This record gives sequence, structure tokens and C-alpha cells, in this order.
Amino acid sequence: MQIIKTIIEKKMSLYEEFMLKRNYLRAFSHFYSCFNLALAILGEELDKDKERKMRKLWKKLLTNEVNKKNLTKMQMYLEKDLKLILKSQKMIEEKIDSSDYYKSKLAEKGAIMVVGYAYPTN
Amino acid sequence: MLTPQINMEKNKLLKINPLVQTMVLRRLGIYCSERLAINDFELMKCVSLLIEEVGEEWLDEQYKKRNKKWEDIKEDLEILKKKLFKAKTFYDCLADKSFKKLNKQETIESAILTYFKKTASKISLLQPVLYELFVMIIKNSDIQRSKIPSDSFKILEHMGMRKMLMPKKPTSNVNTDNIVKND
Repeated sequence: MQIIKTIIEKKMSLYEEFMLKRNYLRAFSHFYSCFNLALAILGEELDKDKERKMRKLWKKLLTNEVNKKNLTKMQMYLEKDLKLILKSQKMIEEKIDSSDYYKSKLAEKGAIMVVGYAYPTN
Repeated sequence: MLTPQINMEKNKLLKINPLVQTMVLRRLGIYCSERLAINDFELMKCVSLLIEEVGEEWLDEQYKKRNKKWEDIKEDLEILKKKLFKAKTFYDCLADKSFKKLNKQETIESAILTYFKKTASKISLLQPVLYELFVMIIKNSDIQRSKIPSDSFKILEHMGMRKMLMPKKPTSNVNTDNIVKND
């Protein structure tokens, strides 16, 4: 799950960078790859009506020029979908914390362990 | 005390060949730092590598548990793959600097741009099939514990693999060549 977490973090930073540079199309594509990952992690199914609307909007944005009307529509979608991405991030962190692989039981309070051993030299 | 638990957890996960792992991780690095290519193209390559490694029988079993057919998903992936490859061919021309120098006529470039936009508009932003498959394989394999190397994030930023793999030697003023100059 660590690998998915890093992908989402990287993609979100790229999204913010492109939005600042006003390179909207690239920013949207990065954002929605995060959204797709979030959907898959949470195991939620995509609303078909939303998928159809998004497909139309994306086509308009690519083929026509980037209009004010289309951009505001997209911004509305972005605000809603960001919540799902944050929810998935929370879930990933919880899973990482709960797994024994990332958090060893030896680090718990009261545990006694041998840190190192030096071989005797003659 | 701790090792048996980890081993138990490891046994449940599918083992992926280290060579495939490095290939996939490098591709994922490019996918994350992608600035010049099409977004889902690199992910599609990763997924196709992982499918071959995991095997279609395992995927068939997994999708049966979810009440889905692997063959339908395979068809969807094939269609998406075709669309991605088509868009990539047009995009490569646009991204290639030497191509721009060769064809100075603006009409050719604008024509390719329109073709690219046409093909790219057919690829949906939302790809639940591809991403679901990717997450499913990663969740059930040992690749989830490996990290993407920091070098692979910079491959596209440095404009190509060659520069990353073969860095220039630092130049020094000291002449180490034993060449006798004949005046």
C-alpha cells in the first residue's frame, strides 16, 4: 500500500503544480488518475451517469478551446472528488499502521532486545 | 517472536520476479513524474507486465469472486490499449524536437495536433477497469512493499534514459593523456 500512497502524493503535487501554471488539461488528467486509484482502493463503483457526463466534458475540453463555462463545471467536479481521494488516503494510512510489516512489535514499551553483537577477535 | 507472523503474511502474497518488479517500478516512476507522455500509457504497460507475471487463471478466480468475467475486462483493456497506442503515435511527433525542426511548415504540426486531440478525446478520464486491476494485483502481491527508486522519477525530467544512466565525466584541467605533440 506504500507504493500507492507515494503515487497519489506525487500525482497530487503535479496537479497543484500544473494548476498554478494554468496548464489545466494536464492538471485534470493527473487529478483523475488519483481519483481512479482512490475509487479502486475504496472499492466503490463509479456512477455511470457521472462517467458519461465526464466523458462529454473531457471531449469538449480537448477538442474545443478551454472555455470559462467548461472550466467551472470541471472545478465543481474536482471539489467533490477531492473528498474521495482524502478518504482513500486515510484508509491507506490506517492499513499501513495496522500491518506488522511497517511497525515491529519489538518497538513496543517494555520489550527487551539485543541491538548488536560484536564477534570476539583473537 | 515477530518473524513467523511476517512469514505468514508473506506466504499469502503472490511473489513477483525481481526483474519484473524493477521494470514495473521504473515504469511507475515515469508514470508519476509524467510531463511529456500520455498519462495512462505507462500504467497500461505496468499492468500488462503484471498480468503476465501473475497469470490469467489467478485473475479469472479473483474476478469470479467479484461476480465479473475476466474475458470482458480483457476485451475492455484491449480496446483501451489500442486507443492509447494510437494517441501516443501522434503525441510522439509533437513532443519530438527533431521532427519540429524537419517540418517547419506549421500546417503539418497543427494537423497532427488535431489528430492527437481527436484520438485522446476518445480516452476517458475515468478508467475504473484499468485501475481496479492495478490495485487488485498490487494488494495481493509482494510488490506493495517495495519502493519506487528516486532515479526513476527523474527519467523524463532529464529527457531520456541515456543521460540518467551515463552521466558526463567531470572535466579537469590536468592532462592525463600521454600524447607527445610533434611541433
